[in-house]
Amino acid sequence: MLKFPENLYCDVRIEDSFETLIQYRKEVLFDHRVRQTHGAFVRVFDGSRWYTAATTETSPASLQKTLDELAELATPCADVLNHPTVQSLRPHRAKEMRFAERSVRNILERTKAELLRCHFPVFQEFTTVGDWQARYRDTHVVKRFLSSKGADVEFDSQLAGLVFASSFSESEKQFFDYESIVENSFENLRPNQDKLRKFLSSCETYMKHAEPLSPGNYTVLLSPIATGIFAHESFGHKSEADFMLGDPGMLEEWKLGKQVAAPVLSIVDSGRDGGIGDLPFDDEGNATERTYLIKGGVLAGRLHSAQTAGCLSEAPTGNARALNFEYDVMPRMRSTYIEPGERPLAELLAGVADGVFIESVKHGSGMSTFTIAPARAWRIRNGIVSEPVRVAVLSGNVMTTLGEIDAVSSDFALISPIRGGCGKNDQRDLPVAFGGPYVLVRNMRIS
Amino acid sequence: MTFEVVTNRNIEFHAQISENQVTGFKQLDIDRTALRLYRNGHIAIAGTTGTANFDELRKKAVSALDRGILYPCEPSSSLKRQVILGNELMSRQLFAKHCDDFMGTLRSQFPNFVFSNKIRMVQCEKSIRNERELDLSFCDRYYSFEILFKRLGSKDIIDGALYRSFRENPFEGMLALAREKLTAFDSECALPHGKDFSVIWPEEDNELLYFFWKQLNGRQFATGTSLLSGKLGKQLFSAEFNLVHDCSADCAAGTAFFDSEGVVNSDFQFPLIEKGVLRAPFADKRTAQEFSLPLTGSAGGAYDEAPNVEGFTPRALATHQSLRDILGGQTGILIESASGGDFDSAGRFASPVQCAYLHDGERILGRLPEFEVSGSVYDLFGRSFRGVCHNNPQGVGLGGFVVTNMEITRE
Repeated sequence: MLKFPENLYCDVRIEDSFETLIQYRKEVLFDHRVRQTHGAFVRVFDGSRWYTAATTETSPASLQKTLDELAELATPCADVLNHPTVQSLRPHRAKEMRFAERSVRNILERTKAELLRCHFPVFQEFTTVGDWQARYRDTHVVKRFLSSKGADVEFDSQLAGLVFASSFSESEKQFFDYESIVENSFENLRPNQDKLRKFLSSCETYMKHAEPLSPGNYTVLLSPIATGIFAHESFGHKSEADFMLGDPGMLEEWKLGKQVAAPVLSIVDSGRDGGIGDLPFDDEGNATERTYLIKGGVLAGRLHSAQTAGCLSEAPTGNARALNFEYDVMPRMRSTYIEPGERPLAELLAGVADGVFIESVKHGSGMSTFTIAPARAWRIRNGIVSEPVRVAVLSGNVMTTLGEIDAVSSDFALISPIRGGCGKNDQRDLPVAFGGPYVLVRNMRIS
Repeated sequence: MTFEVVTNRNIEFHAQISENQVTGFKQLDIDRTALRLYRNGHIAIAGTTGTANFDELRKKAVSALDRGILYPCEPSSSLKRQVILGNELMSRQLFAKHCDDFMGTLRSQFPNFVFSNKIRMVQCEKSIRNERELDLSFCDRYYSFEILFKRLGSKDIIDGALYRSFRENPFEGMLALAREKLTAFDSECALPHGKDFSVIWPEEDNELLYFFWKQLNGRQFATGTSLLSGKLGKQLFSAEFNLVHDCSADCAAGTAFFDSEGVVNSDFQFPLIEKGVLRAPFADKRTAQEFSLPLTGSAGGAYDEAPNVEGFTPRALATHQSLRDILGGQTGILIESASGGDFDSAGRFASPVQCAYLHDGERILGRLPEFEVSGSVYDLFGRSFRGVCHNNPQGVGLGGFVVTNMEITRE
């Protein structure tokens, strides 16, 4: 039991992380790793400054020592509990171990490898596949958060998935893309050779026939994964409230209640709607929720840590997240998506005389100008997805582009990537989910 | 059977910055150890964080042999070497005071900006030792400024960054750099007329050199899936362009002189493109052996992973003494932030440029409006290639520039 020093706010986040990685290159086992990590992040706040430490020594005695050492650096403050940041830290007491009974820790390594290997024969069907890699990865992370305000929460998160990365070549043409199958438990992960076959076939067609597209402005149809990356990069990052601290002009620009898009558009960041971003608590022990960033085209909310909520006198949203025990928290997304509409995809497509369909994406970024680097893109002609086209990057001004969203489909998918993740400052590859419907956007810049 | 121990320790002290002030201090001391076991063409690895229990690691490594990871290569052997970079770091108290003073100066001299993120003081230690008399150790001690800035009233979430690594006392040099950038940021100037300009890319995290990270991967190259496959020995780029895999001291801070397999190159570099001619892709031991490629010492991977071919640190060799020499009296466009660009599958690069400055080779003249840059990789390092220098006009910290002419598209 930890003894928290008086007249200071203190908390401890203890993590027990389990990860399996099995990697084949063309049927040869290349790596097989099982990693278990224990660590803790300890914070002390005196109302003026935070004193923090990341440590792998997690015994109660070691944590107490770290806590006491940090407290020595701080200046005790009798009023610290009334500081707005501390006020925004809710002392929840709960245990939500949703994956303990079906933890990937309990699955035999051999069983995991077999699930991966049963997909290998599909690669033999495609002569243009020059090289391929197949990867099984799972993670089960248990976190416990304790604070001097009385918080004591314990919860877990889990992900298991397969990734198939393929490099294609034919004469002077080359192409690379990957497909993944991801679930939150091993039991839900099923062999899916048909999905892999369809992916490889699409890539082969793309590699053989893709021609460059003239740079310019196009009507673009985004697939759910492209929509998710668009929502995440173009708007999600801008809703992280730490970017608004210290700049009243920014707060005015992002004033809640402002109409920023067509009524058809609603963007949500949620810790309660499935995907890898589904977490009962954030890394400061605050409960997560479904947060509308845009509702009906109107700015409706932003993403907070306790610090930003306290500074801006808004309610915490449960978005304080850290990559792992080595890092401090900052406002980060969880599962970010655009809500589906009511029109079927076929109806959206039918209205496009000349446009571009973005099927898969390599990466995206979000500043004033957001970007999406497509992997596979196709020309739309008279409402039909036609020939493949090569596109280096798709970009646009966030606010302008929001205003150009024309329609959203009723089809919807939420994607939990098992390869990569969200990057902010020095914390890269934070697990987040994203997705949405098919979205039609006018006047997107293609380079 | 050979045992090998890989260690990786990071001792860091950070000043956390929010709303123009130091709002906290973070300390970190993370020790990672992996025990590798080589036997009969296989490798097994057991890793741990914190204090290592070698009896336990040994048991785990022996048990992990059953997984059957193929590694038909010999472990490195018979080499003892130690490299220590940087001086003894200042005390945490002194560092904290310097950070407070530094932020106080920025606050008072640039009240129209909001600063955030962190300044780090780092001691990074890596080693690899085995029963075949391999004994390599590396220590780098440096200061890393990672400050983001935003102009008050700007509609952007970030307008630019003050990023630079130093192995000597950094505060005075960094302040000079910050003054130059922030003053120029408020001095807007027009994009020069025309379509092609000299574009100056910082060496660190260079977007253009990333092309080679993908396309010179030995495995990709040998399986015919790289744009450069089958082009060995061909003159693909300018005769002025030389590209190496670089682990030398003036490479990025924290880069050890050996790779994750304990391979050390002569002068810590391996040439891949010489005078524009493709000489070799980069490879680790397994890739080199499987495809009969030269071993370039480019094995990467986390401390407890089987070494893989992802430890490439590309660097273009210097062609000029300074940025001024490269520009030859003309102005160029210094890229401050060009986020989100990429190469398409035919090697054409395009990227929006969120922040850039006009530069005369010695100083920044002013901030440019947003625009896009593009060009084919064969041009960027071919007829449009202008040169490389390994220093910066301020003479502070690590990092130089790669300069090439690119097509500019205005918004």
